[in-house]
Amino acid sequence: MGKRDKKTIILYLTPALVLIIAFLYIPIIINFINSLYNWGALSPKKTFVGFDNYIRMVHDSVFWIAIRNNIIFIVTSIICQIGISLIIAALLEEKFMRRYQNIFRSIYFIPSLLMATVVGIVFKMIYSPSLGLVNPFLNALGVNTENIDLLGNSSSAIYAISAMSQWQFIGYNVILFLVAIQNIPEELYEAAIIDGAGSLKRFIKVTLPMVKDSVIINAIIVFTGAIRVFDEVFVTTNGGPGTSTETLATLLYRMGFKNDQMGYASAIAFVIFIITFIVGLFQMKGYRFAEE
Amino acid sequence: MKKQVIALLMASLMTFGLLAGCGGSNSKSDSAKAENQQNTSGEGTNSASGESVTLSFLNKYPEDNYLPYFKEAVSNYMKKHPNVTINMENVSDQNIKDKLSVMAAAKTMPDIYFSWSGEYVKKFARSGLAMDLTDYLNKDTNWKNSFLPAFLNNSTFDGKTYGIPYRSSVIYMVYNKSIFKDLGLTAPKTYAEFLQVCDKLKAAKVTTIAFGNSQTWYSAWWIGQFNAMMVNAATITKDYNPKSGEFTDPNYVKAVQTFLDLNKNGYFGGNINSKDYYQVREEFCAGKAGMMLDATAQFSIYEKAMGDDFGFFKFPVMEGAAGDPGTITGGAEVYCISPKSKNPDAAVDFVKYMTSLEQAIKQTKEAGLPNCIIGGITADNSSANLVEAYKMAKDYTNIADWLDTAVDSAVANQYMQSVQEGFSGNKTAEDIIKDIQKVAANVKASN
Repeated sequence: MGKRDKKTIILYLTPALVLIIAFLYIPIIINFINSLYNWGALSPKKTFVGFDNYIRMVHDSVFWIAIRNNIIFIVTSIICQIGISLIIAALLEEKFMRRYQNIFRSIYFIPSLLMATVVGIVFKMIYSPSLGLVNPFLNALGVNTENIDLLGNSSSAIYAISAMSQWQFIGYNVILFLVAIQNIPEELYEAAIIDGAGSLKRFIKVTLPMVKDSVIINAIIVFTGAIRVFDEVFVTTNGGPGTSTETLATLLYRMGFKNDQMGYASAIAFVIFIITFIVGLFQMKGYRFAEE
Repeated sequence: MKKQVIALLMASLMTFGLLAGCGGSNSKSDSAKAENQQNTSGEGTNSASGESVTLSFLNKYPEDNYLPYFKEAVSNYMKKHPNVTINMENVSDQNIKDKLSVMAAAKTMPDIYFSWSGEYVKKFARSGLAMDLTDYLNKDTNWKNSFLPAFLNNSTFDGKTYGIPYRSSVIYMVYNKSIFKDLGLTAPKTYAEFLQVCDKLKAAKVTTIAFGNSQTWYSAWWIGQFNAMMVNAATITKDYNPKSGEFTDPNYVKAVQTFLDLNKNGYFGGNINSKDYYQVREEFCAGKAGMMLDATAQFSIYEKAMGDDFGFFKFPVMEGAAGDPGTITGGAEVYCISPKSKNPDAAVDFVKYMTSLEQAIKQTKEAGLPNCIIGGITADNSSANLVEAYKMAKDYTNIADWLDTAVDSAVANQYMQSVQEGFSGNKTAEDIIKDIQKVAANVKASN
């Protein structure tokens, strides 16, 4: 590599590097420093408190409720957006479904094109006991809906919101997995059929290993999305009833912009960053592991 | 060599292109008569008198029944003052608290912006985000004395006024006259009578009180009123102050319990945590509920929807309770001016115009928003109901701010959140007040 080429490379990299440092790394560092203070937009004081905000976080019951809700989101998202999406994609690729594949692809994919706020408002109405569709539907099936208030009941609200999110994004992952499956060479399937493998065995022994890369990458994306979930919760219940649907992101927003406790909010933001960073590290390790 | 130059050119183009896109709009301010830009965060342009002035104005009325009045008022002002351009932005009630918080965090308030009176405007004053308008008021005593004192006093602290009131509101219990007539009910005066009315409505299978708590500010209205009625006035003043708030008086627990009891007895119907104020108001206007708590500021909506069926009575007095029976929940909405405004005189002049008797009367007549000017609510611009309501309001000696603007926001949020859990059956009144005490202690410590 000549001297000229090296200079060219550096020149082309510089803009991106400058931007990443200015808008990513430096704010992360500033945010961590901010989390060591108690400060607010509307309060004139900025007092250094060390790790008090983090200690407060560990003792804050709402923080643990948020973690619980995020875990619920993560688990249901992985099961639905990875597991179920993969199964649907595999089914759509079966010979007998090829004819209808396009129609189903559109049907599954369209919800992911909608804005989260629109989906939130629509589902808020669907789940409403007085105006919605769910309760009358359950009534028609003979279920007693007197006490069923999906979004107004603290025990069911987070699951209702998660269900809404899965409805929106399963299709998106179906498309991604379809592409991955379509890249599997036909010969592998033919060989499996000759060896007498049925549909299920072919799925487990051929499809799954060949889409491993795609699955791992998607799983990380789904995971980080579930850690950062905000829109869906904010538009439907805003963390309520009470605090039963708070997530890390909504808690951050409430502490920072409603309670004007920016230091605490910065601490929560840093925790979100740490979790996603660690998972990202595992991704890189897992990716290399899969390559070998 | 050529490759180097091209590479350098491309790299700088990319960098500058991206950075320009991310930058703020600080350098755009010199345009004179600009068309309607969506510029809300900035200060105006520099002006010597007669030169072009641009003012940014954040208001709370994007809805169809309010917006036309404000648009017309702004354009009339601009016609009378051709060198002034006013860029008005309207954000809805539910969202403006967040918008104001974000702007406050960035320390860039618009030249003129909306605020609630009381503790809310105090917050802005304490952080130096609202201009002290006392001198402007003292220089124009006609203007100063045109306001109903209770409302001007609500944004005056330590003798300094930080907000100019333009919309006033006092709560009443609104009710459906024909439902009451059919069941032979009369408007109750005491709380005991009120509970009897509730029982009769419930027995007749009517939704007794329209109430929904998915937007939790609505429960703050009820709690604020119960607090004012059941807790000693001096105690309230001490506890609502962030520096001394403790909430140890047992009457706070009683107040929350009284509210939770209304739900326990089934007077609110069911599923209140998934209905919001607007939904239950629709139901009430459609004749599906007997009563609803609301304020004079919304009377025009009920009059339009229900005509003669619409009636109202004073919030029932709780006999023998420790609070001040002359206090009613209510408040004013005010215009604040940013101390960083480059054109404070022009901004004050605009606010003076908007709160002049002529404009105030127009505002009440066309937008149905009751003003705060003495003599501003007349049979000409207001319905008989409003005139009657403001006459009745003269009996009140004091106004208690809406709870969610009367206390530190952390305390208010905890109230709203814990009460919502109380409605789910997950917390008792004692638990709720314990939560409040904890938050109040934190707030006290950090003040």
